[in-house]
Parts: sequence; C-alpha cells; structure tokens
Amino acid sequence: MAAGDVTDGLVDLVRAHLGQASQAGMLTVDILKFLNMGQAAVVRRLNDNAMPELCAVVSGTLTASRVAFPADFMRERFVEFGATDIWARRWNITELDALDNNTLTAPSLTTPYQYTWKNLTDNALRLHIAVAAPTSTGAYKLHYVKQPADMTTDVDPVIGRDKHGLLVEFALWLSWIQRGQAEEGERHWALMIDGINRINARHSRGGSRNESKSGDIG
Amino acid sequence: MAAGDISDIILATLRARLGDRAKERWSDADLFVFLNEGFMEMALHMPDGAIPQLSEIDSTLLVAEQKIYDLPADFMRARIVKYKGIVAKHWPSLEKEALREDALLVPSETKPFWYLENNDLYLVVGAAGPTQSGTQTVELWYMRQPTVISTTVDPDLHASTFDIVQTYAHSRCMEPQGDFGMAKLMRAHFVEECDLVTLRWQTPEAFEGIAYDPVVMNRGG
Repeated sequence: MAAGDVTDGLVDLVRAHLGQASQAGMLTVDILKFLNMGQAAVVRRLNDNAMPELCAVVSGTLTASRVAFPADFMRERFVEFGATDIWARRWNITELDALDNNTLTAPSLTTPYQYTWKNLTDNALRLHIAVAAPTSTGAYKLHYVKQPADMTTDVDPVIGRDKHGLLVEFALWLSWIQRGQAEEGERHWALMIDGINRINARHSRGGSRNESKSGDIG
Repeated sequence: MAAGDISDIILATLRARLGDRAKERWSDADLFVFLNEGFMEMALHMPDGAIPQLSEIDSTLLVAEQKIYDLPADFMRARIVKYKGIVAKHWPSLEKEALREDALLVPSETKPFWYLENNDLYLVVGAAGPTQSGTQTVELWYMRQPTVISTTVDPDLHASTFDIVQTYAHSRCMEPQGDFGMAKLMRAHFVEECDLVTLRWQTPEAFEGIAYDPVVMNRGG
C-alpha cells in the first residue's frame, strides 16, 4: 500500500455510510477535516494505555534546569531525571514556596520536582525540573502523549487501525449535521462515545478478566 | 506558515462544518467573533494545567516605597507572586488588618504578602513598603487571556483544542439562525469536551496494566 491509502480508505468508508460516492454530495476535503478532528477528539478521550502508538518519550539534557517541549507534545505523562531515570514529582505552581522553604520537600538530584510554566528568559513555555541550586544540565526523559499528525491523501493516520472506526463515526457525526440531519449525526456521536467507553473500560482500574470456559448468559 | 494561517484553517474548518463555504450566511468577522468567544470560554472552563500555553510572568521593577502595582492588561487569574525571588504569601484583602495587627504574621522583606484589589497588585512587606537596591523585581505568575485570533494572528492554545472551540462557535452560529435546538446541542458538546479535559486533570494516576475484558454496556444492542 502507498502512503495515504489508509486515509483514502477511511474517506471512502465515510462516503459509503453517507451514501455519497461522489464529491458532488460531499467534498473530500470536508471529510478529511472531520476525520482529523475526530483523531484529536479520540486521542483526547482515550486512556493512554489504550493507544501505545501515541505514547512517546523524548530525552536530552536540561539547560538551566529547563527544556522546551517537543513540537508534537499534547499532554504530559511523567518525567524522569538523571542517569538513573529518577521519577520527578509533579508540583503545583501555587506551592512552589514549599520547594524553597520546606525541609521535607527540598529538591535535590535524587528527589527532583517538575512543573510547567512560561520562562521569562526564553519567553516561552518550558518544562522545569527543580533539583535545587545550582541549576542543572542533567539528563531528562519526558514521557508524553503525542498530538497525531493530520491525515492527508498522502499521510496515513497515526492512530491504530483498531480505532479507525471511531474516527469514521466522528466524521459521520459532523457530516450528517452539515447535511441538516442532526438526529442521525447524534446517533453516530453516541456510537463513537460508546466505542470509546468500551475501549477505556478495558484500560481502567477495577476491570475484570475471565479466562475460564464460557458459560450461559446470566 | 505565515502568521494567521492557522486561524484561517480553523475558520475554514468551521465553514466546512457549517456548510457555508461561500459566506452566504456568516461573514468571516462573525465567525472570528464566535471563535474568540470560544477560546475565552474554554480558558475560563478548563483547569490551568490543561492550558499551560496561557501561563505568563509579569516582571516589574520595584519602586522604593511603592506598594501598589498595575495588573497586566491581559490578566485573567493569578497563581503566585515572587517578591525579589521569594514566593510571597497570598492573603485575603478582607483580612488585611491582620497583617498589621497579628503578632505572628509581621510582613517583611523576607516574609512578603500580596493581595489583589481595585485591579491592582498590593504588596505588603512592612510598614515602609518595598525597598529597591538596583534591579530587584516583583513577578506576578498568572494565567493570561487567550490571544484574539484573526487572519493575521494565530491562537496560542494547543491544536488539540481547536475542534472544541469550533463546536462552541458552531453553537453560536445557530442562534441568529433561530436553530436553537442545534445551538443547545453544540453548546452541550462544548461543555462535555471541556468537562472531559477537566476530568483528566483531576485523575492523577493513569492505568498501565494489562487490558481487562470488556464490560457489557447494552445487552440489547
């Protein structure tokens, strides 16, 4: 398959559900927009554990205890510091005084803290890792959820094939609304939410696993 | 990409959702008003941690004996104040008398307090007010208002929020059309998305176990 073929297939699948094989009824560029919006919405809703293809890690060294976020950063998962990957505890901005004054929360190379805020010197948003004075140039690893790249007719979706049905339902939601069929649109929205909830139910605390033989329906 | 190109894409996507490419029903000016309203509404709705792009620091050179400083024009809500590098304690202005009377509080250069009133930042660092020995500053760490987007100005919030803002604008577009049912529906979707992001920030621990079996949700299909 060539790059973009999967995306083309998703567009055609939306067309098939809409009964609009031709661009006369529905523009491909619109369907692509809706699929891409669906990708953002699905990544926002799915639990991280359900989409390992979007859980990334970037490593490097700090500059004065801070570092820029990667271009495809969407949300933080956790941060590690130093050669031995010590977990850096996330800290509230409103309690930063405790890192200066409280002996029980004093940052060090072995008990690092991290927070996200704009930096005046860089005039940009930065990940800060507090390890006490002096500032650090130590190693770090940022584990994060990626913002998926937009699909085009030459670029396939980043999100796995097991979740493509969710993108199609999302695109159908907006497509039917655009066509003035809000009730049908909402039915597809509900299908998408139902699909996401089923996936998340597998990837949440408190679930169950049954690997004995199947029984009767209770 | 040139400045404003991202805004133009957001606008075009909204037009695609509305099915109004020819600008027959809504002008660009109308849509930008609704989109900007959406960015503001979202910034008011979401937790700060989810919108770090709006984090800001206003650093002001201290003036000796000056206790009151202007808030920045784009101020939305305060987080902390650093007085000469020390994190100052926030104090409710309703109880500021305690800063003068309470023998345990005693504000000073090394125990600074602050509060907001009359659209200003008030520093309490002792009876004489702040001192200045050169280039010492007071820093207000705050959340600013989202940038007003236009054909020449891009948004500062993350791309993952654009569809949420479009949903808000979609709702607004339906109001002058008299389609109040759709307006209500889209507004509900907007609130749901904002609530979902808020929920994620209220859940500190993510699940990283082996996937469970599915839960039967609707036996009737």
